[in-house]
Amino acid sequence: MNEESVTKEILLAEDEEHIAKLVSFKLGKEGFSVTIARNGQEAVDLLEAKPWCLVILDIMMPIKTGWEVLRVLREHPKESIKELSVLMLTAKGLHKEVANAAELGVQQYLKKPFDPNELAQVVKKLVNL
Amino acid sequence: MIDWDSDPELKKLKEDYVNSLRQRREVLAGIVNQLKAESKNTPEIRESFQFVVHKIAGTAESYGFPALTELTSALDDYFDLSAVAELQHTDLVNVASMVDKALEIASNGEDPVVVLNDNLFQKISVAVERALSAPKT
Repeated sequence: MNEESVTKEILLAEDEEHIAKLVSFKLGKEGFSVTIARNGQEAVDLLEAKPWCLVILDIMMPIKTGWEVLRVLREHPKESIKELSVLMLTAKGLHKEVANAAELGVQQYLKKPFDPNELAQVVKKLVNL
Repeated sequence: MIDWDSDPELKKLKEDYVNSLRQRREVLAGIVNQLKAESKNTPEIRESFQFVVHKIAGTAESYGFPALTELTSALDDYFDLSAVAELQHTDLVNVASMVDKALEIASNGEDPVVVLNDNLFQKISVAVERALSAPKT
């Protein structure tokens, strides 16, 4: 896998089908390749599957929540996974949650419903494109 | 602002979403039937109802229905505040009818702005704003 393709691989953990499809479409148009995990456990299982440039996490997911995935990620023995950029995309936009996300090293927090164009801009900024 | 007609795939995504709103209407109709059968407002029914409005709240605006998100977000917060437990059973049926009306409009591709003028929604909206801005004890 060359460096160019590594920088465009995004892991999206999202159980809401319509959001997952919209994010995937929009980021796909921007040249990213999006792999969708339908629950938190699937996201954890996919962390080591390939090098990701970004993880987009929903909070309210079945099996494992976004918080649990984030903890696994931040405590991961592999530095490349531990230090992955994370964008939280969630309907929960309370002050407490935003503060928690910042403490756990979340680079960006977007509240649902989101503007797909804004999401694309934020993602490009996060991966330095 | 997304131009949903600019790409066939995007257009299909929106059509699928609108179809999903029709399915939500069917789920909501089931909740209303339960409400009528139980003749009371139970935690289980409230939970099912909140699940429906929460799902819509998190998606509608992204698909071009900001008013639908405004309506369902306020209701989602209202459920979170447990204020619904104090609602009379008939009021909850009226809330369900209001959401159904909004979904009927959205199912035809229109954002249900008109429902935001509904007196019941105005009452709920004020209650939510008051509760969220009240100092925590």
